[in-house]
Amino acid sequence: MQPGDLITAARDWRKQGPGSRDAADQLAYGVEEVMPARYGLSLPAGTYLNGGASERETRTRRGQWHEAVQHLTDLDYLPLAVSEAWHRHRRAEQPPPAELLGRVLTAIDAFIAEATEPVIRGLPEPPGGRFADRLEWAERYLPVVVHRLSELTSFDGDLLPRPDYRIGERTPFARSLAFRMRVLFFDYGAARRTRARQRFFARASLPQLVALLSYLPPSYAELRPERNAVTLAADLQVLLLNADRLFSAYRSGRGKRTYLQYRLAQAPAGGRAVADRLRRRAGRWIEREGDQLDTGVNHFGVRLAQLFLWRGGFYTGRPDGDIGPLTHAAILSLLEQEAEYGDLSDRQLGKILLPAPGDLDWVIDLRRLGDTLQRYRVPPVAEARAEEDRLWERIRESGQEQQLDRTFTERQREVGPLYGSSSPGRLRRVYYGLRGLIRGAFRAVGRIIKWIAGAVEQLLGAVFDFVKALAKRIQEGMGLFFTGFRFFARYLLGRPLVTIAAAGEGETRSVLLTRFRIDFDVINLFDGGTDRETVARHADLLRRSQAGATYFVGAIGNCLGAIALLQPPVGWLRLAVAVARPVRDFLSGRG
Amino acid sequence: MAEKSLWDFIEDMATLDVVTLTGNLTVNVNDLQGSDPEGRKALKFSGLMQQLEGNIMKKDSKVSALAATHVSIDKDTVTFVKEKLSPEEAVYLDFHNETVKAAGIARAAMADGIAKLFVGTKK
Repeated sequence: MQPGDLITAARDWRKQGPGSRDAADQLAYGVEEVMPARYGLSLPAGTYLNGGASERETRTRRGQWHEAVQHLTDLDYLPLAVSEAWHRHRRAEQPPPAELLGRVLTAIDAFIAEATEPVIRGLPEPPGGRFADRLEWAERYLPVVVHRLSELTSFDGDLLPRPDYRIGERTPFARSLAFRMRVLFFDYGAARRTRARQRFFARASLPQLVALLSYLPPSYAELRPERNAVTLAADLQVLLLNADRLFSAYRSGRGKRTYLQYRLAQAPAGGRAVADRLRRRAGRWIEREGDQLDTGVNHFGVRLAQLFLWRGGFYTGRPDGDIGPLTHAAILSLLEQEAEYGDLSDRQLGKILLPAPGDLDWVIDLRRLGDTLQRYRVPPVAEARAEEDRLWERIRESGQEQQLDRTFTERQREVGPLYGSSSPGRLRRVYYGLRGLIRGAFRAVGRIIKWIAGAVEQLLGAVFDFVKALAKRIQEGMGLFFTGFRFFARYLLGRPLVTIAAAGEGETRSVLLTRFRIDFDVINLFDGGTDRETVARHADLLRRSQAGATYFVGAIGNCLGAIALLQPPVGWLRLAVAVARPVRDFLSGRG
Repeated sequence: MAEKSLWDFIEDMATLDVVTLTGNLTVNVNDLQGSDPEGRKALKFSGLMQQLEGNIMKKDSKVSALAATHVSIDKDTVTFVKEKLSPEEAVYLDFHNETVKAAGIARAAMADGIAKLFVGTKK
């Protein structure tokens, strides 16, 4: 089956109505048997695929688990030690042991218990008790949980300010604010001897907010919280939730050109040609520009620059306000990518990073760097989608879409080393904000096309963003669509729900079976010897199935509608992007 | 043609029928064991359905109706129940009644979403 066949099935089914069994069968075949192999969707143990089974390693859920662990750690549902243990197993390519997985499940339970958003509260109740049941629930609803967690840790403005927020409340929102304070202010030097973190935003952090406002223009002074404040002004919350807003405010308060001088312990590998070219201009520029030279106090500005470089796919270190080899390499990668984009001359780009006299000293023009980073501001949803569409159009025009379809699962491993390692005190950092990734990828479409063709080695920046954005689309969109469709298929195709008794005579077991139709007519079929415990288990199965179908039906309807609207020829990956959009609308409460 | 089948469907949605049958519905679990690609034991769903169909189609198979409920659009409900229920069958009847209730709730909750499947997306 090709994507075009699936599109035809979706169109036929919608046109012919619920009675169209052939179209429904074709649709179910495409979604349940072809798609899992195509997208590497993992299935619960014991689920069999007819004909389309793939023995390739499934990656979809694995990526989502890694993302969940990072968000849960950032929000302090998980201690740092668990995150480190998790990544030790990941690096060794070992599945996490049950005890470790159990810690993550408990963290998810804690998040669910605290969350108040409709998309989380509408989930069927997580089962307590048996590990297998808890794991099954988490796998099923992981896209929903991860999406909400990602909003809580996103700097793209995905999380809205809360006018009713009260300092001291113990909610996911308060954890999110505490996380943002750590990103902006955490003193890694002083933290060598302690791993304690502030879990919820507290009054003790108010002086840091006052410091933050002191970096901004005087007009922001009115947002300054009092010592005994009970809430934070919504505009102040926005500065913490949206890095673009904070960056703009910070830059608008700095009239003078500011240089920052830093020294590297050793010259970084890569980017040599650019570095050499800049070095030739070094002394001349330093002498001519008699402006302010900052020798290290501008840590906050550097943190913001690191945040933008992180979001743009150039930087995978921690935002600590110090320029080391990773930040330096990130800036060089940014300059190379912008040179490729083509609207800035080499001369203009050459004024951003200046090698200073001395082999290891560098001077950076923070204002010009900020101008360049502003190009990576996160676009609104509609603009991000338009950029994503143009990106895919360019890939199609280049004739590389089929090649990407065939090889993406394997080739996404190439960016694996860029995710960074994790060791005590240095967390593995991955940026997961989708619109930021799309904007980053869009800045260098040509480089992405060259990468697909195997003709580019520079992966930091656009290629990294593209792979992460596409993997996220598949993990989130197809993960949820697939789970939801399986619930819905019970009604669509009249597949029975079956419970087998745990005990019986010899190897014989009673069976209890319920078959739904899409118009909700029901047939129950019991073995006459079914015991009460089996009946109770079957009733529970029906409840869970109905809860799942009810939760997902609207999103699945919109996904099938999006498939039906596609115009072939379309590759599998582009189909995944089309499905992922209504899924994201659903997860964000927009659809 | 398409409109007619959708209209039929909407009419079907207006009523709810739940039928509960009992009979000899057993399987031999040894015949159902399979393994997934990683060698883990698991039940083979296709084998299960084959066994069940075989059992039901046997000449001496006795499948009988325990209860049937029809709920109309105005919520009028008619239920037929087999006479002289055994204690076990009383449990099955409770399950039947629970199914009627749950199906009604699920139908109300899902009606909008199902309509969207055939009418079009919001966006």
